[in-house]
Amino acid sequence: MSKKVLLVDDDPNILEGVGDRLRTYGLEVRCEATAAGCYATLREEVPDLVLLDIRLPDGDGLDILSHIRVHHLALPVLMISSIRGAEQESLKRGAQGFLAKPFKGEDLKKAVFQVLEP
Amino acid sequence: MTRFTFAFFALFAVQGFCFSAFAGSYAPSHPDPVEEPWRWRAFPETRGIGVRCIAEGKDGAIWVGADTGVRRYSEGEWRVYTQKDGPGAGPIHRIRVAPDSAVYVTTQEGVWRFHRWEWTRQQEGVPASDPFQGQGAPRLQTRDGTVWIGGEGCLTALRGGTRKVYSLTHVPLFGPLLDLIEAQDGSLYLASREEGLFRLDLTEARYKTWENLHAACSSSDGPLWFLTQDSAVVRQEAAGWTRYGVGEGMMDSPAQVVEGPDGVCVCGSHRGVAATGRWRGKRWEIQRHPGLARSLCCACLAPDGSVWFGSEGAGKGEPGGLLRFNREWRHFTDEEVGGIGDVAALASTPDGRVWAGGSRGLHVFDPLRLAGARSGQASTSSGQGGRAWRPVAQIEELTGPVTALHVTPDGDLWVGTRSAGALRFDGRTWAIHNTRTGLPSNGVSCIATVDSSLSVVLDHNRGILRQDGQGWVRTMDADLSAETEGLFQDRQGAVWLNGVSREGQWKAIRYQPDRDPPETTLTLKPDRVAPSGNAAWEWIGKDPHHSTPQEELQYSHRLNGGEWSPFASQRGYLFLSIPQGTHTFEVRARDRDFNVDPTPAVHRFVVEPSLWSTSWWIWMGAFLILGMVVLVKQIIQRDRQLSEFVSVVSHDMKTPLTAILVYIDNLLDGIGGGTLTEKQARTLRRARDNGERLTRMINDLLDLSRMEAGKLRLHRTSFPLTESVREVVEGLQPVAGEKGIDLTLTEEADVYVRADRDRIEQVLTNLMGNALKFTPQGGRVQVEVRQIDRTARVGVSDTGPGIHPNQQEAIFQRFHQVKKEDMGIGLGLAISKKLVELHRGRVWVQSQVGKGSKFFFTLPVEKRGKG
Repeated sequence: MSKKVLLVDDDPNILEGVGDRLRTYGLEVRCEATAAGCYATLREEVPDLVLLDIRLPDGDGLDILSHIRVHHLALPVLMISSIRGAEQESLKRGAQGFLAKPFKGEDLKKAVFQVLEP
Repeated sequence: MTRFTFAFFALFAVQGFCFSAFAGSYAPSHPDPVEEPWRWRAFPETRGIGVRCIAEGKDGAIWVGADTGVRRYSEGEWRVYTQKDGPGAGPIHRIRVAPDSAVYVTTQEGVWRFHRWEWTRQQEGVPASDPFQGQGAPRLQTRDGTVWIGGEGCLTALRGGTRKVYSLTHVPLFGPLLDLIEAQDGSLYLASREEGLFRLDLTEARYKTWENLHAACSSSDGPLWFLTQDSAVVRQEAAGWTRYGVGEGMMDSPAQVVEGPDGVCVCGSHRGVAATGRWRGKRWEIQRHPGLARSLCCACLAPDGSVWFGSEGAGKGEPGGLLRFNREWRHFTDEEVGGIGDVAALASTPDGRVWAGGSRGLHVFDPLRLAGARSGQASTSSGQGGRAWRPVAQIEELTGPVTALHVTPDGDLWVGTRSAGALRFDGRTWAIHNTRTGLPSNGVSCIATVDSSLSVVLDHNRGILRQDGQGWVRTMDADLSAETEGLFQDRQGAVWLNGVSREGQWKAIRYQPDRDPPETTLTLKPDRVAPSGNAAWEWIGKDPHHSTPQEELQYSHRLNGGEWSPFASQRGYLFLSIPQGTHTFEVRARDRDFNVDPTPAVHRFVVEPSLWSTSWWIWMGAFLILGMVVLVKQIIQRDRQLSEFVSVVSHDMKTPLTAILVYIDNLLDGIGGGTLTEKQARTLRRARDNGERLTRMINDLLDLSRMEAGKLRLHRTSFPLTESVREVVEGLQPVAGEKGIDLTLTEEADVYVRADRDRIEQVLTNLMGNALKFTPQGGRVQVEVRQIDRTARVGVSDTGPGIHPNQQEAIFQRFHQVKKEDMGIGLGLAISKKLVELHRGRVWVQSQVGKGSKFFFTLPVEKRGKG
């Protein structure tokens, strides 16, 4: 059974491009463009990995990260952001990794599989 | 014991005798005022100018016409009128004063008129004849009828048919007198061609001299009492002068007249024996005191009504000392008094004590001691007196000869000494006035109170001084040419001064102080004073009738109602650093009779505020500061906005860039499409490379903006710098290999630094990347890590084109590019420099064009316990 990845980003192009790439890795990808959507999905079904952007139109990715750390303790989260200074904060709040935008396809693959298959 | 017995004997052996003879009349004689040198005054300013004529203006000014023009003297000052503002410097023929107070001056050229401070020429081109050619001696008839005739060094007076010729050698006045006038104040002005202008004060209102007299006292019933040089007592009252000689029942040598409790007393000597006398209304009652001393020379009245007499010239077997009369006579021998010697002065203070000054110091009599002794031991010997009298020995100055004693209306005792100055006793302490405290001489001959201020006459005609509370001031300019012997103020306010001339002639001089205060006028008064607060005032005083000459007036000033300055003759004052604001300056004059101007000259003035304390300046400064604050705030805000703008823009740019790169990657990896041709794949890779370059640029911009906004946070950890350098070198080896560059690392043992490792690696990457970028194929890039003292130094040298010296500073500035075709936007070195500086290190370059460059940066080495 394939692993489920929840991809949260406000940019539909990234959702599309990154989603396509993850799917070729054999992952089941569900995309959300808002924080509200993210929370709704999490209530519905807990994925195996969350790729989370920090800047969202209706909230802050770091807050979602904190929420996940409280309610889904074991759920790995990979932050993806163009804010390079947010890396320290993300790791402090319990993210498993940080991918600075823009990133290369191979870096994404490496980061995702480092978390999913340690 | 024998001596006391003798004293008692002496007292009871007093012989009384009375004369009831009729008194004789007395004709007082005065010296000729022309022959009194002090009445003359010379004007040295007029000497040698060839004074020809004199006139007095209606305003009291004295006009002097000379060989060299005309001069005006008024209020102590001379004014010379020159060609420009007057008749010029030629000889003046005549000066006349018209009833309309205009002054007419005749010269060779014509007649000039001076009126209302202006000169006008009256007759032009009519040369006047010089009246001095062949003119006779000047003549003048004064208001008293005397006719004065000026001569060659002499003056002739014709009075009531008698003729007196004065040779004026005592003035001195030589050469011919050319003019004579009588001024309104009764003084005579004389013009001498050689010696200039002279003034002869003939008035008797102020000074009057009597010959052969010694003013003794002024009794409460009105009359003035004198002693005459031929040993008589003279009484002066409104009805006339009365003389009491031996023939009129007076003792043959009266020495002093004092007022006792019931009439005037005389003391002195009669037929070689000490004697006293009392005026009994119509006759004198004289008593001789044989066996006491040759004479009784001084006396005083004590508060208890007793009269004391002091003796002098005690011969062999005579006990000397003091004599007291209080219904009965009591004698205190010289021994009982404590060895006083000849008594020179007596005085008693309101506390009842009697003071006697003699050739052997000051002695004091305490009546309480005598009373105490009496009540304690009834009817004992007269030795009790020895306890009542004692010498004042605690003050050294009071053990020498005492010449004068005076008790002021306040009850202070003043003691004059022959050589130790004057001493004041206020009942508790003694104050000494001598040459060290401002007295011109230590020899005092008499002391008196004149118009409630103390006056002291100095020995040997050294002057009369008056105390004004702040010091001693010379007063009464009468030149006595004699030794002064006594000073007192009579009941009418006149001051009497006695003197003995060198020839032995007695003189009594009456000085009448005036009561008119002088007027004070400011002649220089600045209304507005500059902010420095330095300002000068000048003033002048004028005594009515010129009774005090202008130059003798004294002035005192004050600022803002403060303390009056001591009276001084200076006629101006410079104040320094008066604070800004409105102030009041006052000045008042005092004449030599101590009349002070009751209405001082008042001047209100303003010291202008300094520029920086004016309100408009303060407002301007406030606006300037406010403006600057607003400006700085705006700059800071704009800077922050710019940084935020750069930051936001950079982030927003990154999002589409991410999408672009993801799509390209997907295409290259065949995700979501078929396979690509080689050319398509090459094109896409080139697009991806450019996308990555754009990413680096954006990251650089973000870094710099964050550093400039001070928002860059360093995550310092401790790490071995060599390891970081090695990692970066290894990471760049593929790039070096591609270009065929030999990239080598020379390292020392581990150097630990405490820094943000990522940032330091960013710096290393930048420096090495630049070195590789600019080094041509087959070149060499050498990296070295060294520790120099407490500093780690990293050097990156290349064999590139080098940097021109004038570019070596500029390359560290942002947006600077060495070549236009560079691969960046010129932020790399600027960011590196800032990052190193944030770590308290520094970056620099050594370079030679054509040979290569060597970049260095340093970091402080971390102190570690172990290597």
